[in-house]
Amino acid sequence: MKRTTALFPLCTRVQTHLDEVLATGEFTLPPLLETHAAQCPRCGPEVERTRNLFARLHAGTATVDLGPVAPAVDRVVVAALGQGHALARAQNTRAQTAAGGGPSWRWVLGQVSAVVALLVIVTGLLSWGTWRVADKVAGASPAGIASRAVQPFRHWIQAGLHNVTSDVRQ
Amino acid sequence: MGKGLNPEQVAAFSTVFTQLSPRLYRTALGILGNPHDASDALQEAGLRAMRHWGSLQHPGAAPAWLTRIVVNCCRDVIRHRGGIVPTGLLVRDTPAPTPADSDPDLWSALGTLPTDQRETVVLRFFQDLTVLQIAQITEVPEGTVKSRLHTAMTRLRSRLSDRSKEGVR
Repeated sequence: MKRTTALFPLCTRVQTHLDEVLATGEFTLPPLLETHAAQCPRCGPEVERTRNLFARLHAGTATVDLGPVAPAVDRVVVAALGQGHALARAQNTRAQTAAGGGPSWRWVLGQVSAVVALLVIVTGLLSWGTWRVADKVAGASPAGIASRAVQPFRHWIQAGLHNVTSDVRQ
Repeated sequence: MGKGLNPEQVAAFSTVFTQLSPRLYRTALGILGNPHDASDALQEAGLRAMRHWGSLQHPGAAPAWLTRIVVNCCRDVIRHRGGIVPTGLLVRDTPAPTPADSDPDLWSALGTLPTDQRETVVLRFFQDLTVLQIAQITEVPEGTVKSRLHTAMTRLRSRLSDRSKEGVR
């Protein structure tokens, strides 16, 4: 009885120590507490259960089947290589452009030539149209110009006005 | 999508990811409990890591960085399969943990822990990380990691000793 009473403070220390062990996940037991646990019917099983848990957790993944790892890694590496090749292609194109005479410069020159040609054609057509109009109205009075412009529609206009006046009379 | 990787970066990433993949897979397996989900999480983590590899300034930080990505992918998988009760206190309807020939009782007991506790135990024992490293990866204070670990270990110890008693009977 006297011996058991003397061990109680050590039981408390073992319990406190095991709490710390569980919180940090690092199993250690000072020799004094180890000796006590070996003799104590209360602490002994508790220490053993904790030690056993740590051993099982450390060994828990030792025999895990790693079969699914390789295919997953392969897919990721292939994706990474694909991205690397895409970047290399882009860099290659930029390098060609920087060196001059590359496909980009040719493309830009083609676009500029097309725009210039279009401008020349539009300017030519406008000049020709303006010249034709100026030639036709040269020396004529404004009333004569208007009369000539309306001439082709004269019969239509007269017919329309005739209908309107007959409707008003009725 | 981040910037593309140059050939040197591709080589560095591929080497690091290939080397760490068994460890990362064990972590995913411990958290998710089945090989199919773990493989998916590993692949998704690899693709995410690849996209952001250029932003990693210190190559020495790659293991912790990749582990964090794997943990986040595992959380996404768990969210999508809806195996968690919103209180975070109880796990229901999660598939039975798998790798049978490596201590099935332990895997089964792990599967009953809430996700945050399971993550903590897995990172501590399957990745051999310290409490500080786990705190950095899971972005919680060290005290929280210790508290989770203590609770989880006490539960595991209790469950496993109950099982062994049942086995003796």
